[in-house]
Amino acid sequence: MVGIQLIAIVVALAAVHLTHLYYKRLHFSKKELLFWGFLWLVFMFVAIFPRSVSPLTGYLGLARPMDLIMIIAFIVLFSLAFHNYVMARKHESALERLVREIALKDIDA
Amino acid sequence: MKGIAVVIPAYNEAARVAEVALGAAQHAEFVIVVDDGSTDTTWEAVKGLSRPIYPLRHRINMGKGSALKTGCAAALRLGSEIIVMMDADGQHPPEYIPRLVRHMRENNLDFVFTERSHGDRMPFVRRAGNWAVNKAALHLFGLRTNDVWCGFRAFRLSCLPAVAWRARDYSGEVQMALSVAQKGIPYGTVPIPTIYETGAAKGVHILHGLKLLGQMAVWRITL
Repeated sequence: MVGIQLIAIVVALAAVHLTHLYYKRLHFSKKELLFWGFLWLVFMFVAIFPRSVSPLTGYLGLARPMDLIMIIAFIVLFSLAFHNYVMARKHESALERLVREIALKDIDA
Repeated sequence: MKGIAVVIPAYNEAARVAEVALGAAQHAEFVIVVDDGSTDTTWEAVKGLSRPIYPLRHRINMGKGSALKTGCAAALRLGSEIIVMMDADGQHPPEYIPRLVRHMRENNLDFVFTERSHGDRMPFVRRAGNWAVNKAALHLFGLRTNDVWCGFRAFRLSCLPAVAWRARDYSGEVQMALSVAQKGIPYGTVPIPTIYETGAAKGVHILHGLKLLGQMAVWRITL
């Protein structure tokens, strides 16, 4: 087993632990626990058995399993960045509305 | 409609805000001071001031553009006819408020900008930044004023929907100015003296100027 696989397994185990911890602290619902737990277990499985994705890489015309992992990683990262941006804008607007409404209560008083 | 409302956004201006508000109160029916989540004693300095001063408070710092929105919403609720915006740091002389309003009424304008005399008293970097922003405003939007960035301005409340800005930060004022030109609102300018004893603009540096120029290019398409 190469070093990168070991690092991936350690990261995945830590993520599974955190997912469980957030669930116990009621920050995650059961659905979120199952979703993220499943995702990290799949990540760990692919890290241990990279050849398991060979049929998919062949179907997609990719040379190596690592290429597939990298492409998926980029898709996930860009999706998360976009999602975070949208959420941050939404929260900023909601916060501004709230702060301004509270301030304007003084004028109505 | 009951006359003039002065809107003063204030962030960490404990030393001068009360003096500015009291000065403005001599020339307006309403003075709305919006403390934008200051961490000093700005709120304590204004909360005890009596009418016509209306102190409002953002519990957290949201930015100058946001504080101006709150001030304008308050002016709308108070039923004022004209809004005058000015800074809380003493940079804008309150005695010029009647001059702005008179210029607006005599010339049948909806919006009046002020232009600081860009003499030796303005720091060079700010003068260069102002020059670049003014040129961009002229060539991209056809806005003819040599001080787009000056926060001392007056406008009729009726044109607020047309010049409403989205930006929460300092760029809201520029966005508002560009809307004036873009929407064909009749405007004029009044010269005012430059007062720079009060120190440099807070937190505004060269990167903000560059960001603003980029935003102006985007607004050219979206406004």
